[in-house]
Formats: sequence, structure tokens, C-alpha cells
Amino acid sequence: MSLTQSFSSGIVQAPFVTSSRLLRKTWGVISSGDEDVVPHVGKGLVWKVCEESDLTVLVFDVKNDFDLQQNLVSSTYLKENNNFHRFEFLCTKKIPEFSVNWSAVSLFIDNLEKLDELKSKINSSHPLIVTGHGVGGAIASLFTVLLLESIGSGKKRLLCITFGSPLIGDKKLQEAIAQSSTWSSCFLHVVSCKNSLTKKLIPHPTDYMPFGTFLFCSDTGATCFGNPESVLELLVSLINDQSQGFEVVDYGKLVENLYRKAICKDLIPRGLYLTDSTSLNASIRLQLCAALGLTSDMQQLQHQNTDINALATKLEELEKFMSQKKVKFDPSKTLNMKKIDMANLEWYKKYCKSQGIGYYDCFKKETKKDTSKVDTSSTVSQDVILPQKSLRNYWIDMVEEAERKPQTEAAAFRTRWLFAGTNYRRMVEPLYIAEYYADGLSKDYEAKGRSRHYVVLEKWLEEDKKEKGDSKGKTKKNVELILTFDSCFWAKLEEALLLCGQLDDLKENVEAKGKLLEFENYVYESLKKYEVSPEIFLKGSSYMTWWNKYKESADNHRLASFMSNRQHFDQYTEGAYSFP
Amino acid sequence: MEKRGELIEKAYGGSLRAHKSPDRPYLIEKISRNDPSEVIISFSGSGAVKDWYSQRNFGETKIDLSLFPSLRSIGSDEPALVNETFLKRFHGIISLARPSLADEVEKAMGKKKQIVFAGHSSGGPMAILATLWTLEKYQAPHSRGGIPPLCVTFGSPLIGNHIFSHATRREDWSRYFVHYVMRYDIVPRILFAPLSSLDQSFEEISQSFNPRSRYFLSESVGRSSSILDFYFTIMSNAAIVTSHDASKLMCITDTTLETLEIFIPLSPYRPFGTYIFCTGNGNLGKKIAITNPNAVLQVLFFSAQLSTEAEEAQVAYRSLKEHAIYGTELQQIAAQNFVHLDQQQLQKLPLSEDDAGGSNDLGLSPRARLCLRAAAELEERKCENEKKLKEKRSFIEKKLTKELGEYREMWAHQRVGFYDGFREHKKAEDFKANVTRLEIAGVWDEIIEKLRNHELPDEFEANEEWVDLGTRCRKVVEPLDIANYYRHGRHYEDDASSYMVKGRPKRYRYPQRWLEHAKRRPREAISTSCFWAEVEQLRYKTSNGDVSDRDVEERVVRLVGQIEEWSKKEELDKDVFLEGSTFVKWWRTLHPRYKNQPYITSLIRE
Repeated sequence: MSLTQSFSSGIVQAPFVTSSRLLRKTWGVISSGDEDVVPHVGKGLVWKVCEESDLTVLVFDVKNDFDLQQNLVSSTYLKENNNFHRFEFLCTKKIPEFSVNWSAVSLFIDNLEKLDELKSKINSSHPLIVTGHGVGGAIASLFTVLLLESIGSGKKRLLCITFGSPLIGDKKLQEAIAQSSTWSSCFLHVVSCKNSLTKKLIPHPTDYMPFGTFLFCSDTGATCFGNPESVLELLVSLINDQSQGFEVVDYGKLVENLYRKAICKDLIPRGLYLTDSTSLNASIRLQLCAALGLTSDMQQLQHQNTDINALATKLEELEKFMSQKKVKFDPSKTLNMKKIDMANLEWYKKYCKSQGIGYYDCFKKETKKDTSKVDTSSTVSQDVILPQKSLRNYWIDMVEEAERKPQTEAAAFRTRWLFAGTNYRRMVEPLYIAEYYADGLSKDYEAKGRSRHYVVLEKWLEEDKKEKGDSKGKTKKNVELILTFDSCFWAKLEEALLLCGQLDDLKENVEAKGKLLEFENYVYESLKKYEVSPEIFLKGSSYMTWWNKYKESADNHRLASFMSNRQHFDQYTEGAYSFP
Repeated sequence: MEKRGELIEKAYGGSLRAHKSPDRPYLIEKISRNDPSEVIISFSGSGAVKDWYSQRNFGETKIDLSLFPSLRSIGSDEPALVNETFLKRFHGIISLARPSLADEVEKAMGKKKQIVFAGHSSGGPMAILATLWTLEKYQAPHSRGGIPPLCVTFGSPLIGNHIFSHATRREDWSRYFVHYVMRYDIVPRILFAPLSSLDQSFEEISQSFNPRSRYFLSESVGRSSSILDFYFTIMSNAAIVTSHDASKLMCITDTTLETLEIFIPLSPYRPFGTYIFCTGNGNLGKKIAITNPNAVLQVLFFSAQLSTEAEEAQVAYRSLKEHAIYGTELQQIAAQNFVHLDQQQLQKLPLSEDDAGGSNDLGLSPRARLCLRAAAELEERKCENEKKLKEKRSFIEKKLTKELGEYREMWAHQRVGFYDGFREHKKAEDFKANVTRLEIAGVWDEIIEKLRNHELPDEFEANEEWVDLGTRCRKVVEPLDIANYYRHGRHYEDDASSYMVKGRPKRYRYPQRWLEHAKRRPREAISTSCFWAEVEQLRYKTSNGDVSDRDVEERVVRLVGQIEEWSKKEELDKDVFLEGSTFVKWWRTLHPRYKNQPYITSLIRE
């Protein structure tokens, strides 16, 4: 239990933004009629690019008479009917689709060709602000969403700033963007408490969901909220509060005013008592005062439409809930524990080798014994089964976590864990295969029995190899301690053993023969690349069982000549055998 | 207290006199009435732009580690950043042969005198650097000792970044620095703003704190129209820095903040040492002392905030005027006017101004009070983290002495080196030792991660118990890591994949630097704990019998030298030279030129 208190950091995040020149500069570009910057005119859409030495600002604007409808359209529909695939990178297994505002996205599709050209011109290492006012801001958000694809987990140089813009998507879109904290950090939405456009787009708060950080502004102050639930709560209450009608907000004036006021103390309404508040409660109530521009007596406010205290309580709960949710799966915390499990298995492998069997066959035998007897106190269950299970659960979680991540981040994640993951797969999958074949009834492991996470781990390695280029020239070396590269080696071998059985019965089984020849060649090629652990040559190994049964009908002469002399095995172990 | 008050007044007097002769590098005053007698060394300020900003932005640079070896983060080996022009000016002063500051300090130290370095305005940074220079020379372990110097500044600008502050706290030096700051004095806040935002107004306003100007400390500058812009620009930039840091205090992992940092330039300068904020009511006013650097930063902004926009002209005028009135503020300070806002008080700071007591005189708003609470919370969290780690120390201790101790003994009995035994990895004991290695590594990895995220107290890397434990773990556990690395063949042809380059974990790199810093030793290319890594690498390189490679030859020669040195200091285990050890086997393969080297031959024969 921690004794420390918590805070709501929006109360200090807002002055960080408002006291800088960021918003003034951005608004300056939106409102400037600078003749040097030629606007690009598309269908119903105008944009201009303002380049400075250290920053590029991209502004979107729509024609005044543009009518924004409220209906949503799903990303699947867009893909199937409009041939619009650009949202696909946001979708994952958990979030297969989401919905966006139809009017906004169709405006986008109308200008697709030009916007693609614009996108291709963007230099990702140069800081970029994408911005717009009102519906223009909604388009800016959409455009930024599409730029996220190229943002890795490194330095983010992209920021979308909207001024009084309507929401653009549903809860699923928010969730898709929240998959990466990097992505949601790219959006800053400036909203005045007197804004009218937000009202226009959230008549049904169940349909739309905000994402990114919201900067709520009033004449007296500003505050930030980043938690979408809290933002929605505030947006809805703003609408209720201002039921008497909205003014047109001059964001230029608003931003300038906040900049001037950033060096002044906050206005504290009379009757706001903080003496007995916790830090969290006090920060939220101060935030509400700033966001709603409360200056008058707190008592009077209770009689208006919004109950400030109730709102504060609700927000406090949401913030607490969010901070608890943030504690999530961190694989590096337990990595050392998992290394201990691996060390256990490594020891087991060594022990088996000293018995002349090899850990695959040893484990298979003991599993057989285990299933026939009801006795569970066997030594195997303690030394091997526990670490094997704990490793498996860990890596299943790990792979799932990686797949939940958006593509670019997942790539970085995979590189980090690739070495440990490959080691794990090569060490533990043979045990899994041993269990599978132990009862003597199951077959066709690779197609029917293989757990998905092994497939995924193997795929990662393949992709990594493709990226880096296969490393050559290291084929000949001492392989005494290596793990067999192909973690399914033993499954292939079990299948070969089964086929050997058929061979006795049906001398002319062409299919079985063909498959066996295939296996024979596979073994030879793997040996040639020094990718197989020499433990397969141990006396009690299933591989040797297979070879003894099969060698009479063997076709690959090079393999036969290698297998003919036990001294070759030692030469192979030392990396000294020269394969023809 | 009284004596200290008197000393402070004298230090201020000296600082003002130093301004009057800006061409002299410093002034020395000796006061021998007291015991020990005091030497006050004061520095003049400078108002020229070139003495404040080296470039258009914040003008920071990496500190000169040859003069200030402690001013860095040790484990990550990152030097502190410091204002380049201040550092240059100090270089000028310290390198003067006559009058030689070094000689004066040496004389005073020899006579066991209390040295007080003092400076007003931009004389402050000179006093700070002189103090740090003296501390490095006389207060580091194995140095000559003497009474630690004291540094007193008045309205001094900021000088270094967060690592500067971190390092002074780690060395326990921050208590020697006392900075007096008037509530509205603008000068201590100037470096929050980049030069580009001040431009012309700096030239004009700096007349009032430039000793060479005829408007020095004159009120007339404060009446000019540019003071409004000057005050506003500096305060907005102070708001940027303080609200940024407060966001970090309240929520450590905030990615939105990280994105915004790219678009909003941020001053690197942060306060350090003890700050005493004076409220400006002469001897009636409160003097509020704060040592928590994050809290000081917040107060630097919030105490000079405007109550309403209407106040601006008046406060802007005051912000310059207060730079000149430290004298009246320091006369006859009564003890009851001193308030120390310590950790506990900050943590429980009342949120309403109505019930705020002593801290009220700084005019702190509820938001300011929340930020101060957050600053105290962070310290609290860091201490809690360290407490939790302390509990794990006995765990490591047990694993190290009992389990690995017995393991080493087992091999010693068999007359096999424990490195070679472990590398073979044939016995159940080897396997157990490997598990123990991983258990110890788990705790260390957690420590290093916390350290890198700034989640441990500043003093951590200088804590003798941790340095010692780190050293012992390196000695016993690191050879196992090396053995594992080479046992699994994770190295290939080139040095880029060697243990030292690619395999060595931070849990060994950091403690090595801790020890080197604690003992003020030069950096070792190969630490004793990495002996085996060098042997393995050389063995690999010479496996084809070829030692003709220049680089390999040099490394073999270097290793021979080091083995001699280590053996004489008994830092190298004797089992290295047992017949059949990885080292001896390799040694025998070398050219006679080497393998007949008498010292090592004698070691092997023993």
C-alpha cells in the first residue's frame, strides 16, 4: 500500500500549453491571410502548408456552407464499398472495425488523390502541426489518424491541434487509438465552454467518443483532461449548462487571453472550500472552476443546471479508476523469473543427456509413465512440468500482448523479445510435442496440435531474418550445446516413425515412401547447416530408433554415409565434419 | 543563528564591494575576530549579454568534468549541463596566475579558516562554481579536508540543469549553498527565458544589474516601458518550466507531455541548494527556507505571480527594484521570522490561503500549494522505493555469501577454478549457482530500472552500502555471467559481439562506475570482474595461433601488466592460475615470447 496521494495533472498541463506560444502560433497560421502561402483548393476542402525552419503547419478548412451530418459509417463498410483501406492498420483482432463520421470521411474520400500526394510529401523527421477550426479541425484529426501509421515508438514529431471541432468517431475508434499511448498523445483539442459545434455532434453521447487530450477553456482559465470518459462527462455537462444558446467563439481572442493570464493567479470563486479536500479532489474542483469559468459564488451555482460538486465527485471516481487501470502487464518485470525456469529446463536437458537419452525422449517416457500410473508425485512434475507450464503461460500472454499492439510498436516489441522467445520455443516446444505423441494415439502435430503462439514466435524470427538478411559464414562451429533450430524437428520425426510402421505393411506405399524421403533430405540439409543438436545421436534417442528401422530403405546416400560411422557424430559436434 | 546572520550580512557587503571593482576577478576579506576566522571571497557580476547567453536559446553546455568530476549522473555517465558563459567566466578566473584563487583557497584551507564564497546577481554563479571547485578539491574522499566552504548568493541567476542539482545532493554538498531570493526579484528567473524571446529588452534592462553601467542598481530602468515586456516574457517562460515539471511530478508517465515537449522549448535550468525567499517587508518580513529543489522551482514562479492583470506595471517595476534591496532585508533578522518548509510541512501544506500560516507571505495560490505537495510526494515515493529495496539487500547478501560462497568452496576443494567449473556446467551445483545468479540479477535489474526512471533518492549512487554490495556482486556473480555468455557461444568473430560491448548488463556497468566515483579512481577499461571476458575474447582471437595482429598483441601486453597489478593487490583469485584453467590452457598456446613471461609463469607454478 502506498501512502502517497494522487493528483489530477490536467491542472498544470493546461498552463504548460497556454503559457507557451504554441496555440497562438497555430491560430495565427489558421487566421492569417498571408499571400505567400498558396492555399490548395479541393472539392469542398481547402488546405495550406506553412513551412518554417523548425516547424511545418498544415491547416485544413471547409467551405462555410458545408453541412456536417451526424451519421457514422464503419471502417468495414468503407473498405468494401468505397475501396478505402487506409484505416486497416488501426484494426486488430480485438478491434476489428470502428466507425467514423460519414460526412467528414466522405469529404476526405472526395479529395483522396490530392491528400495522398500531400501525405507523401511529409517529412517525418521535421516537427509537424496539423490543425483546423471547426469542421476543418475534424478533417485535421482524420488526416492525422492516417499519419499515425508511420509513427514508431521513437520520437513523435506530430501534433494535431483542433479548435472547437466536432468529434469524429465512435468508442471503437477511441479504443483503437488508445492502443498506443504514443498515438493518443498526438491530439490536442481546444474547446471553449461556450462552443456550439460540439453540441451539434454529440446529441447521442453513446454514438461518439472523444480521444486525445482536451483543453477546456473559459475566460478565466483552462484545464486539460485526457481520460475519454471524463472528457465526455464534461462535454455533456457543457451542453446542459449552456442550454440558453451559444455564442460564436473567437478562438484567437480566447487563446491570447489565456496566454496573458498564464502569469496570473487562478480566480477562486467564493465559497470554494478546499481545507478538508484531498489533493485529488481539490485539483479536480479547481479544474472545473477553470474549465467552466466559474467566478461567482459557489452556492448560486448549485441552483443552475449543473451540480458542480456532483460532477467533481464523478470525475474524481473516473480519474481514480483510470490510474488503477494504468498498472498493466510489464513483461520485463518477470523476465528474470522466466530465465530461472529456462535454467531449470537446461539442467533437465543436461541430466537426460548424461543418461544417454536426450531430453525429448526422456520426457516422453516419463510422461507415458505418468499417464499410466496415477502417481503424480513423480520427479518430472516438479522439475520440468512446472517451469514448462509457467513459461508457456508467460509466452502466450506475451504474444497476445504483442498482437494487441499496433503494427509499428509491435515491431519494436518483437525485436526486443525475439532472442528470448526463440530460445524458449526451441527449448520448450519439443516437450510439448513429446506430450502430444506420448499416448501413441495422436498424430499430425504441426497441422492439428501446434499452439498458435509457437507459430507466431516462429513467424517473428522469419520476418526478422528477412529484414536483416540471413547471416552467413557461421555454419561451421561447435554445436554441442545448441538447441535444434527447427522446434518441430521431433514432430517431423514422430511422423516419420509412424510412416516407417506403415512401410513394413505396405511395401509399395508410394506416398509414405515419398514423405520419408522428404524427411530424410530435410534431416540431411539441417545437419549440413549445423542446425540440429547432436543429442539426436544419443543411444536412446527416437531418431536413432527411426534410423535403425529405416536405414535399409534409405535413399539419401550422403546421409547414410554420414550415419554409418559414429565418429562422424563427434566430428559434427565439434563443427569439423565436412558435408559433401 | 546570530553569528550566521552576521556572516550573511558581511557576505552581502563583500558582494556589493566586488561590483564596484568589476575588473578585479574577486575580492578577499579576512575576518579574524571569530573562531575559526573567516575569509570572504566575493565576485562581481556582469550584465553584458555575452556574459549571460552563449547562443540565442538557453546557452547551456556540458560541464567540464576535469574541473568538476562529480557533476554528473554516475551510472548513466551523463554530465550536468551548465550555463556556458558562466563556466567560461569562471575558467578565466581560476586560470589566472596572479592573483591565484587556488593559492588563496589553499592558504585559507591550510589555516583551517572558514571560506565563504559570495556573489550578488551574476556574481552568484562565480561563487557557486568556486565553491564546487573547492569542494571537489578538498572534500572528496582521500583529499586534504579542511573546513568545508560556504556559498552565499543574493539574487543569483540559475546555473545548471537537473543533473547539476542531482549531483550536488548526491555528494551531500547542497547544504553548503544558500541562495537568497527576494519574492519578486526578476534576475533569478531570467534564464527560464531563451535569449530569442528577450532580444532588445535584455540589453536595456540589464543596465540595472551591470556593474559597469551608470544605471547599475538604479530605479530609473524599472520605469522604462520595456520592463513590462521583460517581466511578462520571463514569467511566461517560468510558467512553462514550472507547469511542465509539475505535470511530471503529478503523473510520471505522461506521453502527451512528451509530445508537447517537442513543440514547446523548455529551459534546462533548475535550482539547487537551499533557497531562502524573502518577502520584502524588511526585517519584519518572513524568510522562508526550502531545500526540496522541485518545490523551490515552483515557488520561483508562483511567488512572483500577479494577483490580477492590473497589478502588472507595479509588479514589473518591483521585480527590478527588489534586485537592489537585499541589504535592508538582511538586517537584524529575528529567528522567529525564519520558516523552514521541510518535507513534512510541504506534504501537509494547507490548500487554502486562509489557513496557511507562515508560507502565506509568498502569496501562494491553491494550485501552487498542490504543486508543492506533489514535489514533497515525489521525495516520499523515492524514499519508499529505497526502503523496499533495502529489504531485499539481506536476500542478496544471503545468496552471495552462503549459496555462492559454498559453491566456490566446493570448487576450491577440487582444485578447479570456479569460473572454469561453472563454464563446464556439468554438476547439479553449477545449475543451482546459475539459478542463484538469476535471482540476484532480478533484484539488480529492478534497481537499475528504478534508477534510470529517477525513482530513487539522489543519494542512492553514493550510498556506501549499495556501492559495496555492487562491488561484491560484480566480483562473485559477474564471472558467472561471462561464463554463461561464452558457454552459449553468443560471441562471434568481431569485438562488436564480445561480452564487454554487447553482453555486459547495466547491473555491472553501473556499480563499476559507482565504485570508481566513490574512490575517485580513473576509469578502468577492464575491471577485475571482467578479467575473464578479456581472456575469452583474446582466446577466441588467437585460436588460430596467430598473435601477429597489432591490436591483439597490445591487448595481451596490457593484460599481462594488469594481472601483475591485480595479483599484487590480491584482487585476482588464485584459482585463475590452477593447472587446466581456461586461462592457463590459453596461456600455454601463446608464443614463447609471452608464455615464458616470468611473473605469470611464477603465478602458474605456485
